[in-house]
Amino acid sequence: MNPEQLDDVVESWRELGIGFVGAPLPARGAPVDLERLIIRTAAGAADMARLFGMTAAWFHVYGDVVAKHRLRRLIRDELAPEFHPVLGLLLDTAQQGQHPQEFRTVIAEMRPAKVARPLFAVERRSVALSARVQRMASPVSRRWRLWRVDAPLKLKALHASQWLMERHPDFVVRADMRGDLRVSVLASLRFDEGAGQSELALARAAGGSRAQVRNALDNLEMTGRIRRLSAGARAGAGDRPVKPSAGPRNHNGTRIELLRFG
Amino acid sequence: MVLIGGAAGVLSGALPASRTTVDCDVLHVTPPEVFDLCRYHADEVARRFQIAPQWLDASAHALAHLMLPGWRDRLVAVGTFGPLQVLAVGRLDLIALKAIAGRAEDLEDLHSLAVTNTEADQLLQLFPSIQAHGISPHAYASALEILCSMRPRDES
Repeated sequence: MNPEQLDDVVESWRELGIGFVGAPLPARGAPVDLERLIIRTAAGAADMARLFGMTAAWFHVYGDVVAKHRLRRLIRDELAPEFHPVLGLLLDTAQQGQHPQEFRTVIAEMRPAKVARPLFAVERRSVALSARVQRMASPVSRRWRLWRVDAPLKLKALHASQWLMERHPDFVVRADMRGDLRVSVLASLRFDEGAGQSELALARAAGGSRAQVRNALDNLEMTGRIRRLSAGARAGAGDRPVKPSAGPRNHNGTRIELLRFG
Repeated sequence: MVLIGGAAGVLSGALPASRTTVDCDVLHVTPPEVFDLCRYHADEVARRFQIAPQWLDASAHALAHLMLPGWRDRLVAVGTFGPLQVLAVGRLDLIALKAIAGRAEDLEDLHSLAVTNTEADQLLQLFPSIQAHGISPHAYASALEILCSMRPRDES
């Protein structure tokens, strides 16, 4: 990852409450696609140890808000395999000491590095530092075959939850739903182009089965967060809201619209 | 007030500001009651600058025994704010503390600091003096290993 891309990742994490040094943040929070940010973080973490350590602390505290189904889908589709062990180690580090472990289902899909080596570029550059980290590597980093010396999570550079939730009302919803499939559906509708075109497209984007997504949509429609529109029969005829009284429905031609996420 | 860590590095100009965290580690305050006053106002500063309320942290005073001889003579002035004079540890001491801490982010900071052969040699001469001050043999050996690896002629 080049330095500009890494700076962008750092800036997004500032917006989510990690206290990296930077220019004053705008008064209102800008929307952040959290799951895609995690993917970008995995690709850059080996080049910046503080990013790894601070995001591990963030995931430890705020792991509940991550949409796990969508994250799994993005790992499959958008994260190069070479970074899977980096993300595996990052999430595994964050969930150490947690019961139940927050990211167990996400981690299950990733595999350790093929060749064992230091996690961080700064240690890979030096034979002496490589040997040192190999000797001192934590058990969890050995499991991922990416050597890293364990360090306490630096919680003091994180904003409190109140700050995060005030800036990002969608994170209140994420936390209330504890990152379940409904959050993946909402996040996909907001951030994944074309996700609302059909139930099938949404299931693909959100990382759930069609039956699971339909179930999630029923709940989200009930609480007024989305609405389903049946596609017009003729081109240009527009969409009509699906009548709720219709009983068991065929949703094959249904378009889904996000009404509110926060 | 004497600062150490990333804040000391950034405020003294030894380290670049980007990619460090905003927390501020305090090594020493004279008189000590001044820290309570600063801590009292730290929440207001956190609100104004939108940073975490725990940003001002004096737990680093526990590292005082790891300071190299002569560290007070190498302090760098950061600024005077009303009656408060803020100082940062000097570059040599910053390098020493980073080597002792030895985390990957410290190694990255050492890389940014571009430690010279002269500095590394100077530190290797001074280091044995902290052995008598309670540093664990393991931490001491690790710090020496890092310092040796930072010498440009030893870079692989």
